[in-house]
Amino acid sequence: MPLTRKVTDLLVPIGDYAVTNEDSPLSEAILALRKVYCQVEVGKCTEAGHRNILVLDSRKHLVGILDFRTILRALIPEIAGGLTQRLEAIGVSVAFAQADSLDLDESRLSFQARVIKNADTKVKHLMLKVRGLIQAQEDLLSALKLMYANNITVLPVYENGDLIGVLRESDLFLTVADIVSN
Amino acid sequence: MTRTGKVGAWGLALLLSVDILAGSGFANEGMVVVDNASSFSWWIWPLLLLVVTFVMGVAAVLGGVGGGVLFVPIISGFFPFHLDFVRGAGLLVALAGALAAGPGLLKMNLASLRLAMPVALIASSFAILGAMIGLALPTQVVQIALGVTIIGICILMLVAKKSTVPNVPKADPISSVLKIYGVYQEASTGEIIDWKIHRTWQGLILFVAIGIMAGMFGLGAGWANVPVLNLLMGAPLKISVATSKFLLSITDTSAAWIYMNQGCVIPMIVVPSLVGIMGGSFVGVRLLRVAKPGLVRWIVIGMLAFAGLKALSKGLGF
Amino acid sequence: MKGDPHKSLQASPEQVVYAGILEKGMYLGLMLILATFALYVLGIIKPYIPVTEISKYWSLSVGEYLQTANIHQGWWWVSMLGYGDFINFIGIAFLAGVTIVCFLVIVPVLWKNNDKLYAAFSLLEAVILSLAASGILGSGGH
Repeated sequence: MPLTRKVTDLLVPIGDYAVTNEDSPLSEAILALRKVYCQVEVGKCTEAGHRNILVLDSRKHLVGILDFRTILRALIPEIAGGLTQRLEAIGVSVAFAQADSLDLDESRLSFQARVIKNADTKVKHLMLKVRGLIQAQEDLLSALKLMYANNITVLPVYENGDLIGVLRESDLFLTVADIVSN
Repeated sequence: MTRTGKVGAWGLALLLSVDILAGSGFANEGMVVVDNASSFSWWIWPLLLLVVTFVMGVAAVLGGVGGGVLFVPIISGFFPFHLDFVRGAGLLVALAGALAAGPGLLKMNLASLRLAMPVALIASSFAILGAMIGLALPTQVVQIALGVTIIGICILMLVAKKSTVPNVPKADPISSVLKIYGVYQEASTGEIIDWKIHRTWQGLILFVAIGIMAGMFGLGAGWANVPVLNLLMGAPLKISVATSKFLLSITDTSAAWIYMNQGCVIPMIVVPSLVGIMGGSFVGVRLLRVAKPGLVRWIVIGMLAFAGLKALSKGLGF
Repeated sequence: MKGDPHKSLQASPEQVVYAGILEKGMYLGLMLILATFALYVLGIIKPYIPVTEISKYWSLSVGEYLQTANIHQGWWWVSMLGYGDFINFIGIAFLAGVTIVCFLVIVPVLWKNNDKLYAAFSLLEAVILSLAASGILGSGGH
């Protein structure tokens, strides 16, 4: 029965996962994530690449996580962002328009320039909170429950207080798919 | 729609707005009759106010003028409201606009809190004084002063230059102690520009006058803030524009409280104006994405000058 | 210059805190204004001055208006919140009050960053604005 296997059998070791520092600019995190994502895509090919990057503090403790959606929202807030971000952009545009300085309005800049500027944001201002973690010796079924209960797609795995890897929703999917194929 | 078509549509919208204004001016002449005629529905004026302020919001954004500056002279000139209530509403309209823009400007690090704070201390204190003076003076006197100020603003708008990155050879002692400096990125080139300011004393003294005027007339003060921050104190234009808008949220807060505590706030005037101007600027910004007709600025400044003259003539009793 | 927060493209910590509170307060204030105005204008809560009579008052100077409508200055409106026109003051006061809260909240942030001068500035600004809000100033006019 695959689901009675332990978390430790399935996890992605921390060394294979993309990590960044909370004080790094987003641009660094993006490049780190792209590197790992593409390697997995090209190398192991059969399984989904990592779509998240872990954020560590200066003492190497896990403090947050970044996913594609969060990154895109920060880079192109006027498209991918929430209502407040779009309203913020309008407020800024109004301020510059009323001062007859339209050419200075950053929210009207070229797409490329805005992405470059926004990529300078520090990771810690964007990262998602870590919602839930699991011990390496627990079984996969409880991992699955935790993921769905907390509505997350990655679960940090700890052993003896150290972060040793990550369990991904895609891995669980493949495990469940194995049951069907048997 | 073609480009010319759009411009034509704007022109039409503006003409229409002038028409509405003229129409309400007519009604203004017959105000006494209106007041006594109970058949005249109460909601006409608030509705008209909503429409006019909406057009005003669009025009302010397209013309590059602050909404508060347009509001006080035009509404006091063409609506049956007393100047006391128009100033109260004008302050709240300018305040709401500044508050709405504030978070974005601060988060994008365009507005500098460090630059704003010493200036705000001066401007907001004197805005309180200005509001008290403005409410103590006879309406006639305020009317005349308002007219003169508005015409002055028009001239300022026509002649004032701007300097994208003013040359500041050396930061002055006060600004160094206060650590008023920063960096910003020239977005088109990606270049990082260091900025600092000078002539801090002179700037702060001018903000005494700006504060008093802001409180006295209930106008926004962006038209005065930007030249002082940019041309006198030497802050880059982008930082000046953003900081000026943010500054308004503080200056107008202090003056708005004085007006509110004195009873100069009538919700039936304030809320439609607020909704109208904000909605108008919203739409204005969308229109700007298509094109910006240079003509609109001239029309808006012309309208403003006309309203200024009207305030002057009202005050002088012509 | 790397350690100097004022030499960064990103906003300083106090600026981020200020912006966050301003944003929440501003939206809440605007919502309150719209909601209370709806209650007023739709006649759900009865106003102190009937809407049909309000045009009699708005052409008067504020002194005459207060006298004829028997309205008092300052924070008197708080005691009149049962009326549709006066509930609008909740949102307006909220909007005019956000900035005071913002300045108060950044005082400890600045203090912690050893920026005592600016901490004092923000405290002073909060005091000035509160003084204006208190109604102590200028309520003797007219």
